[in-house]
Amino acid sequence: MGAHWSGTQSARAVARIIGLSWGIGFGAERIGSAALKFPRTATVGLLMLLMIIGASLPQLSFDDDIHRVFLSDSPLSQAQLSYEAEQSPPQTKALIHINSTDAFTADDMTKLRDLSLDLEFVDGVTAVASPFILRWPPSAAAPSGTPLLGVELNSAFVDDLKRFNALATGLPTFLNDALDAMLLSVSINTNETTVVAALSAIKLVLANALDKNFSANITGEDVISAEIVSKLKGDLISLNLWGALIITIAAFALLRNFWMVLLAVVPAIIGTLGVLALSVWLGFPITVISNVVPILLLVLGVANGVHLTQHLKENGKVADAVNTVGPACALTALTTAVAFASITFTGNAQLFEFAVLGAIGTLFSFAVVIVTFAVLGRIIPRSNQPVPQISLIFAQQLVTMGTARPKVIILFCVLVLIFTTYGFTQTKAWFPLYQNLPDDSATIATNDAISTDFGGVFQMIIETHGEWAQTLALVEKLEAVSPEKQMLSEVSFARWLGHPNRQSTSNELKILPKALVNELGNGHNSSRIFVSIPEPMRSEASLALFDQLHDTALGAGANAIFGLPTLMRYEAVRLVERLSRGLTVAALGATFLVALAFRSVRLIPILIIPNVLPLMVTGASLHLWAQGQLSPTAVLALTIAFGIAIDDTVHFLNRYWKANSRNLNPTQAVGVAARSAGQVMVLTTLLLSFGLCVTLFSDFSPVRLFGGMMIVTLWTALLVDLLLLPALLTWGSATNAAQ
Amino acid sequence: MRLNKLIYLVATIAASASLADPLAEMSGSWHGSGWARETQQAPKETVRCKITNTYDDGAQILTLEGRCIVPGRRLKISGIISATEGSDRITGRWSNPTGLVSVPIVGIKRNGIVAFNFSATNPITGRKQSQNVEWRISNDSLRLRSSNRVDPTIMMSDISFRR
Repeated sequence: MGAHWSGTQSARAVARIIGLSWGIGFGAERIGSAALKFPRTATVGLLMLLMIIGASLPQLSFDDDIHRVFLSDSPLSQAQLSYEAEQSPPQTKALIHINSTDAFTADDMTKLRDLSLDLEFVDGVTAVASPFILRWPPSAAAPSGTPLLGVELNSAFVDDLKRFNALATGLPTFLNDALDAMLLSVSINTNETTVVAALSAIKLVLANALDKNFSANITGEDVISAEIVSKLKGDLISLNLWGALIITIAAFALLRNFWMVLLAVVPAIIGTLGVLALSVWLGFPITVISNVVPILLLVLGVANGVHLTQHLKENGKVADAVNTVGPACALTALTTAVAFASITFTGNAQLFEFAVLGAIGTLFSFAVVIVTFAVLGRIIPRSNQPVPQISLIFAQQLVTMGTARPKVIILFCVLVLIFTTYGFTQTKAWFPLYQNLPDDSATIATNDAISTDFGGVFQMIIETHGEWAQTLALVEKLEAVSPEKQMLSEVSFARWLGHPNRQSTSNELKILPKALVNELGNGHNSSRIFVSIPEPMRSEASLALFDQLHDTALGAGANAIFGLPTLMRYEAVRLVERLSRGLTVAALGATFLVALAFRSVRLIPILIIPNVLPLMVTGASLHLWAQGQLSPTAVLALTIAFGIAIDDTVHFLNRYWKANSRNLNPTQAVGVAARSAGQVMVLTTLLLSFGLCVTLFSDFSPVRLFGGMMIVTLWTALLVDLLLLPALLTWGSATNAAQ
Repeated sequence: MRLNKLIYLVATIAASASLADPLAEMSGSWHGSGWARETQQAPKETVRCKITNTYDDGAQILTLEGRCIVPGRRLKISGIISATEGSDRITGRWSNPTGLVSVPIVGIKRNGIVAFNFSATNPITGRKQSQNVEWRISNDSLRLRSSNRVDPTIMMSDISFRR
């Protein structure tokens, strides 16, 4: 194999064709050289940038649309969007789950009826569905039907409920079988109020109406969004503040000099603030996924800062650090940007924004870091304080192992690659919504309780354009697989009116709220069936129930099936598949970019194996700590991790290449690379790990998963870069030497 | 003692003045609860209302606007009541919580009471309704009662309001 650094003619030709007269950083480091050449302009520019960033940060916004994460350009997503666009005025539903310590008495029911009426007067509320809206079928004396629960409530209401259930209409009664839980469904016009304002008013009404025997919890699709957003702000701030603090302390422990720490950390912090401002300039709201971008770029910026600072310590000249290490830093930024950019192909708006923010943010952060380093490097006093030698010893021992027995190491790594690749392929695409909620959220338990008592919080929407007989047959088949009273359709009302075999006339439906009638039939000779279910990926049982309902509906001639559960079930899987394709693009793109930077096609296999191996190890490790679930967050982490894992390879190859160009043999060149880059690789991995550690304390499971996977990948990548990469680089020469 | 008598006298005069013009007293925002029924044979239904009344002193016109809720249904309530100068007679238009269209009304206002009657056809059911409506104002409360016009012993609604 013997990767003697001659490169290949073809790569050089490609480089010439696209005009690459610069080094491995494609000339991006020249922005740092320019800052050194025009220090005053650079300083003024930086100060102005800081002022613009400061003015932009208060305008940060947070995504409050829960559907967006699941929506793509698929027909299913388009059906969902059409349905949402049809809602006029735009409506959202808040579900209030009320529990009592004992079964509801007549007095309790009276209080709860008063509560349901009070809720009707909350600003923006357009309707409240509760047991109190239930009526006996219409009669001549009571054309709209007699209320099931009359003005004077007494203990006979229990018998009335039983008699109503005996009608077998299938209409939900909003009371559980034990009569100790009630569901209130509050419709809110989001043109008139915000979800947050409505929730605040609803909570006030609940607090005034309910005594200690009752507990009330609110949930719903947009309620969940609002909850995520409210926590997300705090999480973003604490992640970045703690991240900056921890990484500064870690940098201080490793570099042991205040000024050097300043030089390594300050540029990265400015870069991170710039990336936050960038999200404002691009008009992208922060999401649970993009929440990790700033902290990620902070640690990457510090890693580059450490490489630059360490070189400055060794050589004493800022220009030398910018010209020698700058290109490698630029290339690492490019590979990370490629990794982010590969995610743009998912067709998902939220991930597109994540990808664009990450890709542009990485390059922007690099530019800020190298310019700030150049500006600060000129004025900051130098230090000769040595860095801890343990990092050097660690790096050298691994490299020595790799070069001593290259065949054994390569064979071992190939076996691990095969084993972990198999493990990775056995992961299951999985995207549960509940994992996006903060850990201390009561909503998860509320959703579970509603699933137990009332079927679920989420509504599967089944549309049929068939005749009444087909609609009736469809409902009956769905009822056979769905638990009781979890379905709402025109059939329920036809049964209530006493003519299940005939569709209700428009005159008959006039006694129902107009909004409900519109929802049940969209006015185009079609009928909609709403089935309340838990989120599909809450458990294996809920997934089985969803699949059974979905298959039954399709088998019975449903024309369209949508609603959030359907999006969660199918779009999530599609998203994981598309992200996996993005991962492949990232891996190939970053590999070719580095090969192009070093003008060597022969480098491709040397890059692929050491950088795919950490991904497979991390991917397979999901079986150990994530029940083998491959969520979009996990694939995102793997994609970005590839972009970062290859950074160490770049730094190692950069030093190897420079040593190799001085006519050192591969083993000697590997030794030089281990001494210079290897030491810093260990330091930066330590720093990155410390910085990313803060994600493990996030309130959001996807953020923790992302950070955890990044740490695992980084350490595996370090081991592979110091063990396998030297083995691959020296394999041929070791064989030759033996011969 | 004299001061107490003076306060009593002022209060009595003020009360008399307000009783003399119940339309003015009805102005403001009111929250009400009680019951109503759809037809004279129908059962009572719990009802909550929230109305805002505006009184134009110069034109002597009271405008009522609000909504009433029975579980599962929400209904608009609105009306315009005009007083006739130098007379107890009132005229105007009225639509009540059972969902009738706006109909003309004629009635009287006297001693804290505004009363009128109307006849109309329910546009959904086609059923004809004739009701007597009475608003009674006392202190800070307002009470709306309506009864069947043919048989006034059949009460159609009874809703008490507070500011």
